[in-house]
Amino acid sequence: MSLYKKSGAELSKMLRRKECSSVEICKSILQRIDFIENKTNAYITICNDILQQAEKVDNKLSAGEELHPLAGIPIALKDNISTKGIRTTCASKMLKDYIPPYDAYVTTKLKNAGVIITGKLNMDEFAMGSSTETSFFGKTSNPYNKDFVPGGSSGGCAAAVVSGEAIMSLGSDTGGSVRQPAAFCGAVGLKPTYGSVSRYGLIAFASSLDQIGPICRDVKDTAMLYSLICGHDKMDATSAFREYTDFGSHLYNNVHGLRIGVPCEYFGNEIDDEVKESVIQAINLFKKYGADIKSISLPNTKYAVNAYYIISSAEASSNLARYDGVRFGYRSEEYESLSDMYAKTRSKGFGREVKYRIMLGTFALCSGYYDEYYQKAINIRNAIRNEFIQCFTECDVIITPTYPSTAFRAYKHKNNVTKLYTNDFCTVPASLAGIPAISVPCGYSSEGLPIGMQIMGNHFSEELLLNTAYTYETLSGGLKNERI
Amino acid sequence: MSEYESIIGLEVHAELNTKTKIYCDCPNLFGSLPNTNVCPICMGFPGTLPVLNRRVVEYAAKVGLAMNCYINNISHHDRKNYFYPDLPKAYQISQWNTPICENGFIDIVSDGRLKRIRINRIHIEEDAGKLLHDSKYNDSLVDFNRCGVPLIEIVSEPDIRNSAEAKTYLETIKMILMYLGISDCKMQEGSIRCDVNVSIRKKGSNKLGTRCEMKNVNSFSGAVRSIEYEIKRQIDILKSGGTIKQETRRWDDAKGKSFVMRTKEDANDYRYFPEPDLLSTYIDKKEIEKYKSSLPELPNAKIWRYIHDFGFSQVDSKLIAIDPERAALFDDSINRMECTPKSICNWLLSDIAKFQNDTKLKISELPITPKSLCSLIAEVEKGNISNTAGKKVLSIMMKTGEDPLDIIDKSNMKQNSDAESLKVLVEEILMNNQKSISDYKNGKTNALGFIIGQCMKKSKGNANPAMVRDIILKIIG
Amino acid sequence: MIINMEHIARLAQLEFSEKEKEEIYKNIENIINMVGDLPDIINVESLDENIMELRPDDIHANKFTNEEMLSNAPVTHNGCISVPKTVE
Repeated sequence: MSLYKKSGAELSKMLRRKECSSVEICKSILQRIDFIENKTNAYITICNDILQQAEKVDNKLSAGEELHPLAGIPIALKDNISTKGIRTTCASKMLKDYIPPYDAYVTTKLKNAGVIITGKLNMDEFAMGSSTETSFFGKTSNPYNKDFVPGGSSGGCAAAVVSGEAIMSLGSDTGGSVRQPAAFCGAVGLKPTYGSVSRYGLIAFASSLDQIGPICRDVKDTAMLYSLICGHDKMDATSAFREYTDFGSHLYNNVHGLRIGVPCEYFGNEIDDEVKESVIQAINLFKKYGADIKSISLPNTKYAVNAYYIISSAEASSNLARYDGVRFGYRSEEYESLSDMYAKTRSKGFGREVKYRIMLGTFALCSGYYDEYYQKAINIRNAIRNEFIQCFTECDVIITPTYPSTAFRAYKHKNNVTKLYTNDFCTVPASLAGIPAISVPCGYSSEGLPIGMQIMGNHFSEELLLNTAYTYETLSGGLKNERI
Repeated sequence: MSEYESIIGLEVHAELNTKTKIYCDCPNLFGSLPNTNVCPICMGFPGTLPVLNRRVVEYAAKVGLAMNCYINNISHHDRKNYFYPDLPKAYQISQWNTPICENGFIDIVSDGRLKRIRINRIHIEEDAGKLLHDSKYNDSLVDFNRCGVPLIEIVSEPDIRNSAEAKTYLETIKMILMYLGISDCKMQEGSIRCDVNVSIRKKGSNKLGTRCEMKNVNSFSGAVRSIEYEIKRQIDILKSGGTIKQETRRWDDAKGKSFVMRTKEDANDYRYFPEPDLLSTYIDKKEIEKYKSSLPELPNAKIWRYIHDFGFSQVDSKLIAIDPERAALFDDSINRMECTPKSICNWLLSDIAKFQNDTKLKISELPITPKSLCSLIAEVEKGNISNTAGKKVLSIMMKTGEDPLDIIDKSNMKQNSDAESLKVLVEEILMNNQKSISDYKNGKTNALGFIIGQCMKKSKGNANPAMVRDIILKIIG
Repeated sequence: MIINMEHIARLAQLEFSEKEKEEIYKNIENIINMVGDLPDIINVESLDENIMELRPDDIHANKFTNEEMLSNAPVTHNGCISVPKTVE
């Protein structure tokens, strides 16, 4: 079997047993990229020093150095994670030539561990979207069917790992941007607890919601990568103080006595039947192996999408104000005055979806509208958070579909922006509450497209989520990664 | 003028002299080459995050306590959004709903009386960069070094009634900041600036008039002139039957005029909202108590004490209090109770101040201590040395740092004030100057001067001239 | 509700051509109308205050050079970033 098809955990063992070298793994990945990248368009930038990075790790390994388990494993990053010296574009014309002078916290972690950084992955512009169609660098295709979207905004991540162009990837999730593309492409995606992974160097969309998370081919790889990136960072004031266990090496198969909450709000008419059935089947499998299934209700779920779009857009309108053509990024070729330079730079540099969000966010913060929009949304957010915390006194995890449908055809929602927004209702509640959530593949639709199941848990319950997902993956046999 | 009264409120921005900036560890330095004290954080690069400097919070709380404010245990940070090239993130991290300090006051000494000016709030925020204009270059140039320099904004209630009070208020704030050692208050470096709010109303009315805000007031004298200009402008409008429009005006100090920046209609909507990159700032109650107990006596209190306890003039009191080192030397000297406060004040403000002025040395750099200063002044007060000799001793002290008593001993400057020995001296001189005695008795009063002079000469200048005179008169009178 | 789109666009420093305005403003209005459907929840249990750690006031050695910090800037002059003349 070609090396690019193997999981990170397998390759890690092989490297240590000298069954292969990092250079061989990387060559395999590069060949795969050569073969398939023009179909997927998963990458925005491919690093030109991949083999040199791999050689260094191989030298260390052969010198008998003790290295991190992920040393020598090729991993790609969503193009909103800063990499010193490597352009980081956010898939926007605004930053198409921007080269960060510093590394993100997670980039430093990866580099220190000896991970091979293969390149920067495509996404929706500034992570705003759920289809990776809004990228300035063209859309990414779903590895299962090139006419379908890979989801988004971390569509490049899911497409790259599933099509074998990287072993693992790091994406970012603001309202579902890790979980939903993982569901669409048959990958595993973890959105960690807010505050468990430093946001330093993650180009901000909505600061109170953004969180970096791994998208990998299986749960074990997801756990290993999460273990590497979590932890306190003094450069991020919102980063949590706590110790984390090594999630990758402690996975177990057991759901006996696990209290699983199934909220009725996530199984209504909005959910495609095929999706609903797959998730219910998965829940039944848990039940068969001793889990305790409880029907629950989270009534504030119905307000989550509205609150999410107000809060995320408000923060985005402020976070994206720095793109003014002064210190970095695009500046309009022509302008007559300072104000004209601002308006032209921003109007030409941002795509339409980004402008919608900036307009909405600016509006929601305006005097006269703040109380009616922003403040109400904050109140809803607190109510949703309280509702979850209350719920976790009765159950250990909550299981729902990750998205109401499987991957949709490209350009399907081109003329109906709000429809695409409302479809985020399964993923945004966990984002608003700051709780962790993982999407695991749980079957295929009749069209042959993957279906994702979302498991949510209380703050900092990643270990439980990973074990629950791992148990399901083991019991169900996992998805056959037939794309790679 | 008399028909109207003016209502003035001030917003004072002061840069804090921390080692590093407020949200990143770039050095907080003035005068470096453009864009050399910068990093991705203070230049607002994508993905960077602010981390609040502990000392900024400490300093703000100390100022708050010095200004009798309530210190919030928990305070919050908010974004103020607007576009300008000197503001890298296009928002300023400031405090809106819950600043660190609220509801305080300071008592200023104005016209020899105490006047209380209430403080609405004191909050922390970041400074912006600087725009440079080069006549040879068509565009504006941005230097981001000042971005992220910590600022406190002290917002007063509209309790100020005229430009003189405003000036005293500003001077008092500056003195307090200097006393706390938290700001350099260098006007020429822009480390203290203010915005001025002025409205006027008919005397006796308690309705507030429409106020205008003036920005870009960078000196205390500028504050005085801008207030006077604004009061006159508003009175002229009202007198000619017009109405005052709410607007923001820009003070041009060189022209001595203000110009409209923006009217109420096109006022900026800053869209304040909670800064999501920062959590709440917590100040422990014990910490606040610690700051409180370490607060020095503040200059405005000192001024009032000097006027009240020692009967000093307001000018002298301020001259002592304005320099924390001078005030400390004064107070420590007073506490030795070896000489009168008035003498200490006179020495500090005359000879010592002159020496400082000539040498540009600070009090702490002078080789004098409260002990040495007091023993010098006491010698003069006791008449052991003359005032002139005292000045000489001081100048030697300043050069060598020697003890004044040693200097006096060595240099024979000690004044003879011993009545017995002076009597012997006088008798001897009188014996040899019988003609002068008869001259004096015949009405030639200047003969007395001659006799005193002879005594002084004989004593090599050490005789106490006042006592010599008394003894002569007693004998020949 | 009538929303002054021009005002919002000015605050956001965005401009839209006459051609695109109609469609864009309509879409934004749709979005605003959709998200505006929120109940007034007032009795929300207040959450615990999230307190942050503050940074010691210490300078660190690794500094960024003027060249590094200006290398992404579209227009520079004499170690500064150049912008259209600001009205002084």
